[in-house]
Amino acid sequence: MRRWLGLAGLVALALVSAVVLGPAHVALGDLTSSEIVRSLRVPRALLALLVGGSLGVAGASLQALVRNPLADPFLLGLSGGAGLGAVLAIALHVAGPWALPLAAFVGALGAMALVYRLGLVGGAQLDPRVLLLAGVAVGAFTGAITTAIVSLAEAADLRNAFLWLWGGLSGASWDTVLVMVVYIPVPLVVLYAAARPLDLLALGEEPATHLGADVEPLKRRVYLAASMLTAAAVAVSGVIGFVGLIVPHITRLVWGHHHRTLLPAAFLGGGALLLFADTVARVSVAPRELPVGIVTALVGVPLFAVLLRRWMGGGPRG
Amino acid sequence: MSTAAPLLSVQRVTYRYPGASNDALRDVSLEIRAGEFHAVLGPNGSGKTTLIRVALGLAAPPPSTGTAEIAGRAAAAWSRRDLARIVGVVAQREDNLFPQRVRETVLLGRYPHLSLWGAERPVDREAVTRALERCDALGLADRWIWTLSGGEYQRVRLARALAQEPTLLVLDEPTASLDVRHEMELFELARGLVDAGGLAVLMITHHVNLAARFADRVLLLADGQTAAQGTPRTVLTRETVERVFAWPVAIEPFDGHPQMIPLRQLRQPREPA
Repeated sequence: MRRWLGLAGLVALALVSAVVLGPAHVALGDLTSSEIVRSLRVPRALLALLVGGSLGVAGASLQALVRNPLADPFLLGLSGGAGLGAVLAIALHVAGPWALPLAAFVGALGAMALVYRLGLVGGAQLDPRVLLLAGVAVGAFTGAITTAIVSLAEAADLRNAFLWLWGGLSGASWDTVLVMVVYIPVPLVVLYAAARPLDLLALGEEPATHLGADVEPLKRRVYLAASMLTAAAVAVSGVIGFVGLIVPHITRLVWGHHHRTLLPAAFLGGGALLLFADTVARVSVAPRELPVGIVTALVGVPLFAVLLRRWMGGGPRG
Repeated sequence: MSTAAPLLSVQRVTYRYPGASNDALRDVSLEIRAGEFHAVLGPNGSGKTTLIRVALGLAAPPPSTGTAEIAGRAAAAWSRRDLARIVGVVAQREDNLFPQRVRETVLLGRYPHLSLWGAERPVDREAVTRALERCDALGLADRWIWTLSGGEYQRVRLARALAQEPTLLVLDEPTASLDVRHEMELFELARGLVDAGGLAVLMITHHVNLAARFADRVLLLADGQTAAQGTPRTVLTRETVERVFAWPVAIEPFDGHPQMIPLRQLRQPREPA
């Protein structure tokens, strides 16, 4: 219970600092009446919470699915597909407020379908090892095309595309928050329903089957739902790495490996982390802004290195 | 016991893996009833594990001929969840991706009894404690899995299968790489579950002699075919064992059970010094 209160406190603190802090000074007394707070900071904070939470849950479930605690949702090629979609939209000057997110979303779904199809090699069974390799391959391929397009683009487009690829929540609005609020409950519920069988899957597919899990449908559901979450996150905020890797790890250290507690904790933890990271991205170089993916990478890569050493060191893994 | 309906019944199954040029199983039958300890023996690659997969409805595609039924219903027709309440399996291998404590991993055995959204109930915790007790592993409950010895680990995995509250236990080489004491403990434990608990046990093993002493019935497989089937005394004759394992043996009775002694292969007599 103390752990949950601590996590809730962390989320609250992250939300408050995201709303209070910013390049424009807003007096505390004016917070509720300020237009900046109401139409910029609050929706942006909520979007950070939802995106970070989605990445945390997607990461935790995919790590159980591919049976590798160092998997990141973007390892499965979605970021490459989304990046290609977004860069195409930028290069082709597709207009409209939803052009970019939609193009990224479609790109992510395309990559997901391709990886999924490649993961089904040799029959009807989804092989998580093949899934990982297929994800890396599809990511590299789409990345190559993306870079080719960027290299041919005009300077202004190039900058836009490049910044988009590093993720950012500056596109946040009440509309994007609303879209996420409507969209993410379905994959979240699907993943939560898979929480207990995911515990079994950690023993291996055959032992999980013997304990009563329907392993094939389980793997498909988890892959599709986690990818849907990642695709939505990448569509509204670009590629924000390491949240889906680091957050499940830290929550595992505190909450253990039972997905029924791990998944909700990963949602809140991911939300809090992205909120803090986005606040840093907005405030640190004000009035300009860093892509938030740079902040999460600067924090995430050293942490990843520590975790990698720990994990590869043998003994108690986690 | 022989009049009771079989818990598990494999009838004249022939099975070939997709793309393979030989049958992995040919015309094999197997029946297990409550209160029976059934051992499956045979050389490496003789089809023992394939037989278990077919018997549990896990073979994909299903066998071309023959039937596999559990409690009177086609094995493949069971939902995995319903089947897991009847059959507990200790597979040859499993992973430990994440660190777990013994009680946690045994609690996973309650999965087929839990509802989708519901939490573990007191009855589940009691079943876990009971299963640990039966395997003499209650003292291990709070240990981390990775601190267990090989023998302790196997007892814990057996406890997890018992937490499923099955009527049939399937053990696939449970004593591989265990020392004498631990392998005897495991056979005694399995026999005790059959005698006291009325369970049926199906054990794949390489221990011809222990199978002869503990099992009620033995199926000896060779190249996917039944070499012999019946009580240990009828199955484990010198001729049969030598043919199946391609090695000269002597069979000596011990405690009323046939025991196999592998012979040294004939050599040129040494030059006298």
